[in-house]
Amino acid sequence: MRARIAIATVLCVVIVLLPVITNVLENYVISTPGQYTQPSTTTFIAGGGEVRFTGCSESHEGADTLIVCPSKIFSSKAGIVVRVNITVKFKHAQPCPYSNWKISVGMPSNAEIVNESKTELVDPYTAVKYFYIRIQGNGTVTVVYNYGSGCPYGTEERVTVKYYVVENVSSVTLEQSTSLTESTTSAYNVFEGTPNVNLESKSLQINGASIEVRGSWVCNGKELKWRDVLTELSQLPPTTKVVVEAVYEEGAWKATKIEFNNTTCVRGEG
Amino acid sequence: MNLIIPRALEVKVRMRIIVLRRIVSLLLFALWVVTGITGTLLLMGSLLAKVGIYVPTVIPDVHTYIGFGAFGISVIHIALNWDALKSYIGIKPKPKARKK
Repeated sequence: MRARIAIATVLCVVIVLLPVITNVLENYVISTPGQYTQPSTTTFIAGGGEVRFTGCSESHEGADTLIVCPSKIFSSKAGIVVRVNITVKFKHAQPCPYSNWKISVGMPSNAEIVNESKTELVDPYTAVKYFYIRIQGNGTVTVVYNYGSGCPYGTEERVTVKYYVVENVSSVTLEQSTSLTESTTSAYNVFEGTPNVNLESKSLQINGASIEVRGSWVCNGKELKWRDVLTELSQLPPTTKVVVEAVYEEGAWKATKIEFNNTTCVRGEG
Repeated sequence: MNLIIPRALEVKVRMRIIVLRRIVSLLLFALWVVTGITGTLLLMGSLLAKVGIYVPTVIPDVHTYIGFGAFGISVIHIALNWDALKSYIGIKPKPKARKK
């Protein structure tokens, strides 16, 4: 009897401590470096300006985690558009009983949101969203993740992205960010002007900026290849104004949307 | 003299087991009540939110920790009532050796 009670007591202690041990292990795994890719600080020239990013900011007040990348943006001039990525890591698989959670972007100061994506659930534990922000001066924009109404695991997570317009971006000292997510941060810009088409380099030049045109395109519902789009652009009268939306990826501007003469071409999946 | 000491010890052990059984049973009952109430609140959380009643954020943690506490205590409860449990499923307890 005594031995039985002793064994039962040991088992009892182990079971009672199980949630505590699990919590400690969970925190250890999350804080262990190498579990997530540290986002790198990127510097590049964008349309005559320079932009520098720091890593990501996160909020983990409740059970879920809101991660926003980049956390700070330094731009050498006003008017540059930057993409901000938002990730929510759920503790519990979605859909959960409190399903009316939402991610919202607040009104930015000295900037405007030029494009905001819908929230997408990439897997049961991760939701993503992004927006493009045109920076006009120093300011902040707040990203809020609201838990579903009635959710007992938290009420909201809040992260503020700071941006600055500084003359010498390269001299800005960036503190290391403690981020927990893999991210790709890219800039976005709109180029307007008369293009010079270069079929060999699969690109066009507008106001001195080289923009690559690759892959398949959909122009007014018609599917075209990059070559057809560039050929059509090269045949335009010299005074025709073209508007090109492009993202800065892998060291080059890449066109995502081209507008000319009431024709709108959008980059396809291919 | 030799016969009295083991007898006294046996009585003492039995008394301790009775006290332990009492504590374990009462504790298990209390934990069971708390687990039941917090579990019901969690189940009805989204329904209650629609009428403006929000479940406190501490409830999931309370439910987890108290639930595991009850689970742990129940192991001791089973150990204390092992013979009774065996008899419920038709296993007769071994006859105790007679003490001289």
